[in-house]
Amino acid sequence: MSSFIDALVALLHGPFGNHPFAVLAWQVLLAGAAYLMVRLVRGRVPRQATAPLRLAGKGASVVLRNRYALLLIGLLLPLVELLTGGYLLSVTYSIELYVLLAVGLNIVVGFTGLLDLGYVAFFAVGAYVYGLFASPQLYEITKQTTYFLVAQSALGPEPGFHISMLVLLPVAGAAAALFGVLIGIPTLRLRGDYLAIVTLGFGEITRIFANNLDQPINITNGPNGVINIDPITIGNYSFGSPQNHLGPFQIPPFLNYYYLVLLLILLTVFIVSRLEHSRVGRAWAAIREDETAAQVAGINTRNLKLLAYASGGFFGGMAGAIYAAGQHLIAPDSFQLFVSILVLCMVVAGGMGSIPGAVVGAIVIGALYFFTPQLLYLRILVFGALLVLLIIVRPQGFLPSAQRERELEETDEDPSLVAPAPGPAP
Amino acid sequence: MSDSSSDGSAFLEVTGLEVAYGKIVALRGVSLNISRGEIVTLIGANGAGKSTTVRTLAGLMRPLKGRVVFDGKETTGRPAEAIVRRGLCLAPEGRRLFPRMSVHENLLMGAYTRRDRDGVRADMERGFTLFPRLKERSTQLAGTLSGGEQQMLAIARALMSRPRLLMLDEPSLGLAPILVETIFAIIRDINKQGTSILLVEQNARQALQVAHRGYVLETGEIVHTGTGKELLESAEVQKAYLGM
Amino acid sequence: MQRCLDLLTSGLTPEGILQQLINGVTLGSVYALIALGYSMVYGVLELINFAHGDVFMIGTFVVLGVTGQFGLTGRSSLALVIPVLLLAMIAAMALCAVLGFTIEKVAYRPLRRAPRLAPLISAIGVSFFLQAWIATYVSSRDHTLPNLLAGDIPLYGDVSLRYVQVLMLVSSVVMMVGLQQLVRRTSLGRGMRAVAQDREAAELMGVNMDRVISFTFIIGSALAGVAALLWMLNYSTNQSIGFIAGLKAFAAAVIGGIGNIPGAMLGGFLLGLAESLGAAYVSNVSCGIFSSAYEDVFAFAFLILMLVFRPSGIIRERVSQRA
Repeated sequence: MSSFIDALVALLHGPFGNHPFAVLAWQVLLAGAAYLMVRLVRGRVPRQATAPLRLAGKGASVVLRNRYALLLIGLLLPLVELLTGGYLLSVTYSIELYVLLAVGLNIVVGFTGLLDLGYVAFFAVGAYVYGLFASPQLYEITKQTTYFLVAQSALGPEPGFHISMLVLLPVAGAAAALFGVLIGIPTLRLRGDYLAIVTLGFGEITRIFANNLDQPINITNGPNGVINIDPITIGNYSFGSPQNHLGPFQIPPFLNYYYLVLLLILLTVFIVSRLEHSRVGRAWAAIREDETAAQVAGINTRNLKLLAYASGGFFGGMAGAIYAAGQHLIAPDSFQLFVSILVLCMVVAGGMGSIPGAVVGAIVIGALYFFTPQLLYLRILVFGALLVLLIIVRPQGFLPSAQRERELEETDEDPSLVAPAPGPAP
Repeated sequence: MSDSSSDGSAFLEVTGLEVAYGKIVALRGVSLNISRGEIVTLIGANGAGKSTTVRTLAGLMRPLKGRVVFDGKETTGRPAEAIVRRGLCLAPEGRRLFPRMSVHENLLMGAYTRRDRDGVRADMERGFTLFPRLKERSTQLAGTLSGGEQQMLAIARALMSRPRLLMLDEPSLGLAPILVETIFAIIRDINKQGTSILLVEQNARQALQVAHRGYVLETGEIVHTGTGKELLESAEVQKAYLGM
Repeated sequence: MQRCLDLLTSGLTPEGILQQLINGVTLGSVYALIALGYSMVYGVLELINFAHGDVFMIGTFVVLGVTGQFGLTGRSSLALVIPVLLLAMIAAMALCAVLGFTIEKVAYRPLRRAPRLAPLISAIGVSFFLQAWIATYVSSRDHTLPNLLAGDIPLYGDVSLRYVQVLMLVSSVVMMVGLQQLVRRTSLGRGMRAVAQDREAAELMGVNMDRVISFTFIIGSALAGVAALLWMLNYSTNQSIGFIAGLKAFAAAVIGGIGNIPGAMLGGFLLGLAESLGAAYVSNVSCGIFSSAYEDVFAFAFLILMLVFRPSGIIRERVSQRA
């Protein structure tokens, strides 16, 4: 794996030295060669030669569309990882959180067609709700008020709030959902691209506030972030403790979190797929296809768009709360615009509007991203290029929803949408 | 210059044109031809495919099947911009002026493909003599003109490209009756000065009166053809399109 | 309460405000130049060219590279500084133009008939690609030019106009007037406006869409190259500067009415002023609750408010957009 990555780095860097222009010249050559190759090969490879590839693709698609197969993989994967030492567990767990985020964003972007570039705000709101109410952070503020005595006597001897995850998880989701509605209200009338910029703005504003709300009163602890966040504890079982044992086997903390999030993903996917096939889901699809027509058909587009934000926000907020618990600390830097873009990339890659697509997109893109931290900026470079390539070559994604696929096929044949190609007539 | 037309054979020849929007077929094998110097009209009900026909001829849509030959050269599937350069110009339905440009600039846009400044200036003067109202308003923004003025500008603009065949899509749409008369008179004038015309109209009676020949389009197919007079007198056409 | 009043009275001096006005206008002139690129592309394609800010960012690195190549320092003579700066500007303009042209061809053109959001997603991809490219192969740190044109013109009290600021103002105004003439008077400019107002009608007039769009990207990007030089005379750069500067420039374009060239200039100046005054005085005015750390929040909030309440900009048009 790592030698493959080294080779990729070397390939992108080229043999001409470190000067940016040398690298650029090489990459232009490389891109040109790749383009020529594709042009040459296209349509000339006999179908038999690609048959195994297509078969594999089809097989993968069948497996990935099968929720039981996916679940089985999900259940067994950490055990396999444990056999290899277990260090991959934290990475797989991160990917799981992104699966949650992708399924949530898919409601907004995929189902309803609202391009949200500030989805990270929901994640941040959820994380800060848990972080503030399950850590000593708010101690300094609360002790100056009379509520303090009440709160402290109700919540035990530890300084600050230490509310249980069982309470905070839905609260974090609800807070993020409310935040979604608040963002949604002023943006209801906006067109797609303006909406994208506005949501991006809200995402950044959220982060900047988290970064600066240590003044004049210290709420978020500013750029240093909230520390000493409680791990999730159910009864006497602390998810964060390394002392848990199952018979002779020690249970690493990330294994606990892994299965917790897996459970949450199952629940989320169940709820979201119910939503998709309900009246609400059909109304969302109608809004996506033609908002005016939807309105004329009697759909309350305002409430349904807000509901899309709220539901997307809810799952993002829950993911944020679990993230905070698993990490023990959160800082504004973890809620950069790039998180929104990464999740968007997952949704686009998987196929906008498709739940299995969002799940698989998050797994594939997440794996590419989280298993290659040594690449630093290079992986962002690859993602940028991948996003462009995907939207051009395969806009329907890896696992498109059946409906989207039909729509794309139809637009392909629409002569009013297809320009007459320059050059001599066929 | 090919002289294929001087003997009366087709200046524009369309054979078997098929066009579809997605799965909805709009034209099912339309064939028609226009000789040099003719006014030919294409009439038919709403949705019969009249606009689709001229839009396809102008290069805005691509046919699935069929051939378009203009002045001896095939133009099927060529981009709009190249077709204008050959002298086949469409004044589209709804006028489609550039609302935030002045009348003068709109006319200059009509001459976009031309490099002969003096010729352009002369043609603009000709346009102003044809439509004196436009001269008065030459610095006004096109979007602020009245409907009739806009239609005049649309025709004048199309003429600025010095088309050899001018296609007019519903030039009388939404105009007061008196203006309709004027527009048709102008169409006849333009034709007398040597421009062939393909006129798409819902106003069948008037169109057939100015036209040398006409075609009747019904759900994407040509169902009748003949001289203007013949069609005016045909019982079926009278019943279906002339309200008699 | 007393503390708030003190803050208010001690902070706001006429000299201070005048100086901030000057700084704001010069900053705004750079935003205006970048805003033109957004505005022109949006006018023609209805696309928010998300990567435009990053084209500007690449321009700043070209400027850095050229001036570094000639070893300019704060003590270099004007006879060296001026030709090198000119060369840097030409290089930045050329490279940005090539980059803008390429981006349109590779990332946007294949999507011209795709659903509206597709090119926007593609633009985001390009933006991140460019940032990461610079961070990987050039540098991920902050860079500034040495102070090349030291000296100033004293105006009033201790308020002064620096030579650099004069240069920034003059060059950006010259560029904007030049662009305005190009768009107003030339056939290419008419073609651009025609495509912006009615794409299909423009095609029927014989306008070659692809060429007009390419030129729009080339011109907008070249202006970003000029903006890059002016920016480097006074501010620092890093790989992500294009994101925030680009967003502010986009906000400027929206304020002036997107697609409207004089509007973009006006919006740029307004935003520059708001940012300078805001950063300098927000703490005084808000009783110390907000600090200049919220500078970007104000820019975003401004942008959001504009998009929500006046998406067509602050200038009323005589003819509605879709007449």
